Amino acid sequence: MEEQHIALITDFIDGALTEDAKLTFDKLVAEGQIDMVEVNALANLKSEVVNMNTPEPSAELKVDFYKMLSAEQAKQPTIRPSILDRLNELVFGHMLGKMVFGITLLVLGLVVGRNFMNNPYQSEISNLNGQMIEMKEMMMMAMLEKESVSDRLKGIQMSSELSSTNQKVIEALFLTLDNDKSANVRIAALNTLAQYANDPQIREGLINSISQQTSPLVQMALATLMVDLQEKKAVDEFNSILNDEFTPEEVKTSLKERIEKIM
Amino acid sequence: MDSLSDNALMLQVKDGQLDKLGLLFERYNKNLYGFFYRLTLDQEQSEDLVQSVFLRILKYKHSYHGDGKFSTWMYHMARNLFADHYKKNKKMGFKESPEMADKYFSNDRNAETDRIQSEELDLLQQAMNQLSFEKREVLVLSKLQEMRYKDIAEVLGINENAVKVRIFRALKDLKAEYLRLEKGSIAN
Repeated sequence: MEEQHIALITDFIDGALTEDAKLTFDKLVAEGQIDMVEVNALANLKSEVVNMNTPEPSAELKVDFYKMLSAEQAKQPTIRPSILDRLNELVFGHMLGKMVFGITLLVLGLVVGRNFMNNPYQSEISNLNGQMIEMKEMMMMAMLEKESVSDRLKGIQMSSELSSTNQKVIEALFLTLDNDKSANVRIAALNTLAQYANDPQIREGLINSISQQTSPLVQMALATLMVDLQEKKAVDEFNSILNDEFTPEEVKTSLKERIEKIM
Repeated sequence: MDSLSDNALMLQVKDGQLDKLGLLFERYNKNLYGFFYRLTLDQEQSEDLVQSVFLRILKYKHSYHGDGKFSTWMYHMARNLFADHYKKNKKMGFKESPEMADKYFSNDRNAETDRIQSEELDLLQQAMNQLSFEKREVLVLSKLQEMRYKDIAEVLGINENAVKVRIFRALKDLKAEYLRLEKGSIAN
């Protein structure tokens, strides 16, 4: 067989001959320059090679990959400013921070002043505590409405310092989980809420949130959480995502794998 | 650009959203494993190599520009990694492992047809093992659905015509080896 016709032969084997090339190919076959018996034997062999089964990797590969990914994410250089810088940024970086600082100073001045007048103002201290918490809440809500993703992430971080039973905080977190345009912010909100998933009301909210999610990353994170919680009620919610024609195939496969783990 | 396309995801990884690598892993881990498995016939090594490819993708994410196919860039990396791996171990070529092949091709159903098919496949794998590394590699790459001759040419750093020549010669050698092994097994 003529070596000069190799490109034509491999294209024929691959089913990639153009109309013109096919005419040339047929002509060479007719002239006996290409041996069709040999070509067909090679084509059969090629299809056997293509159809050779390859075993699938073990489940450990996936586990190891995600471990490696988490480790790499943890290593990502996050510029960690000094405590003083962070405090400075938190207090003076925003108008609200400046306000809070001013009010705190005023309240502190009042308390210290009254103490100097030798009056027992223990209850004032607890009032002050309450006011501080309220201010923190205000700051957190304001941060969650910021345009910048990193500000919103800071808002989530602040929420984790507040009490889990605080209804306003929980509502704000669910609002973020269901509506924030950044998947990273949604996942951060989910991680914070997941800490309180033993609370039936929060757990119910998390299940309801499944159908609100379109980002595969958030869907996957919710699925992983539901597996950890062994929450059977979540299966129906995930089924509607699986039946959605717009859900990418690889997301469906990964979701199925997770849902199957919910006994 | 479709935000879930390979290129879009890899560009997001490049921008620091490392979690997006998870979707690329879900898409490619099986094919990459198949690529390494056909070259090594070793499950553990193949899994280690797949893991190393994704680590290397993270390490060199800054060099990704999104102007070609992601899979081509990834297989280029996989190939370099495999070459490094074997250079380090000073043993270029296949690991002969009939036990692995037996283990893989054995079938609990024990049907006669399955047995014959397994033997044929086993013979094909053995024949492939006899080929030079260059020829084995091009056949393994051509087995991957997402790789066209143009992509294989890019991965191997040769032109498309040279890929066709290499595949043609690999198939001819494979046929010769297969027939030789088949003759031997009949004689036995």
